[in-house]
Amino acid sequence: MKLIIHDLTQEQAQKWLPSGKEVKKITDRGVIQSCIGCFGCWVKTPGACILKDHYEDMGEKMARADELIIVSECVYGGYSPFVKTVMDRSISYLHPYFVIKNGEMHHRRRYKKDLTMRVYFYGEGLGEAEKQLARSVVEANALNYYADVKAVEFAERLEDLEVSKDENGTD
Amino acid sequence: MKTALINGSPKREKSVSALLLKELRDDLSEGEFLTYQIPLTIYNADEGISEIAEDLLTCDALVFAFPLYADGLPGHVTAYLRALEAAFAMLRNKQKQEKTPRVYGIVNCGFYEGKQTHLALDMMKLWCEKAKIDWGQGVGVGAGGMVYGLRNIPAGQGPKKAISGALRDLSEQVGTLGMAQDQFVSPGIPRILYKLAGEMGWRNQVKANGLTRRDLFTKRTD
Ligand SMILES: Cc1cc2nc3c(=O)[nH]c(=O)nc-3n(C[C@H](O)[C@H](O)[C@H](O)COP(=O)(O)O)c2cc1C
Repeated sequence: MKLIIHDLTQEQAQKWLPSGKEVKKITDRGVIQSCIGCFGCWVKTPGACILKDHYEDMGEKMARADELIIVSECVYGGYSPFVKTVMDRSISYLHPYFVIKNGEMHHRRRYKKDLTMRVYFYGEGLGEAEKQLARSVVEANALNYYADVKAVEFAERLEDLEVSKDENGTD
Repeated sequence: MKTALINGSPKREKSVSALLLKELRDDLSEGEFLTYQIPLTIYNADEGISEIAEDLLTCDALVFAFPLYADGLPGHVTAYLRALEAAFAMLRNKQKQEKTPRVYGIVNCGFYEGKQTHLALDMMKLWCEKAKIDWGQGVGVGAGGMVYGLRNIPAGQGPKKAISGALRDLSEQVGTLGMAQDQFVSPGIPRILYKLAGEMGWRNQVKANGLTRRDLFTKRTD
């Protein structure tokens, strides 16, 4: 399954993003709550966020996906507020315990699986430094999320993004 | 000298960002301080923002402190910075910009290495460029999970030495509106101890919630 976290309106999403049985889209419905930093997703209701607003099961959704697609406006070299809030609400995908990887501390896996990641950033006038920062952010996320980055792309306008239609043609 | 201290942690209790800001404020000692708490929303980040922006543009220094979330700025901090950028632009157009403050950042993270905050500090620098204000210096603090537990140890003592040193250096930059390289620090305890103590902490917390240590391993796909 493909999990698509994006900040497009519903109409834009229908037009520009892949759809089908094998696609799950996480859309901004104007109700997402920000992470309160309580770690309840690790120690109260392990594997799920304690805030109940339809975005509490991101960890499970990631666990059921094999590809994570992110479509986001690029803001200060990172994701837009909505996409980033979804990412913040997704740490239940990981286990609280620590491991050392590449000489640095990271979290242990909760699920025995690897993800692939494709990230599509849009925004006007993105400079090379901002794009480079965004690429580094995606690589850092991938290291923490046990993911393999297949693509990081940039476009001036949403319309110019070619969000991967499934290579197998099942969309 | 007027300094704004802006806390982006969502926590009202046991916030490491709040502790680090407090220590910086003690180091600065003199002058006037404005304090702000970044609201925990991405939808109403612009509520009251023009008044806040106007006040911030009367300051000499802005010090932001927030936790590292998923290798970057927390979502609500991104929203707030964007609202501020727009409000600054509006005030400049109306020629209501009194000063061009210099911005300093303190980012703490749960992993041991303070260096892991560097991307969030780079995001702050990009924000400064877009908001047309000046960057000063960043401090990245690792092993944030331990910092609150050290709160009763006096600044600069024992395991707090490196963090207090970095905050003191930062306070010198803030006090003189200087610019310097980012500094990355961790508490003075070995990484392996931090890892073991942290993992014991997770077990204690899960048990305090009436669960068992095995529940830490719950898989929602089973
Ligand atoms: C949603 C979320 C994401 C986090 N992501 C990271 C991360 O990518 N790297 C890291 O080292 N710590 C991460 N942390 C840990 C926090 O940075 C750490 O707990 C910090 O001490 C909290 O600071 P505060 O008390 O000022 O809020 C994350 C915590 C939360 C709740």
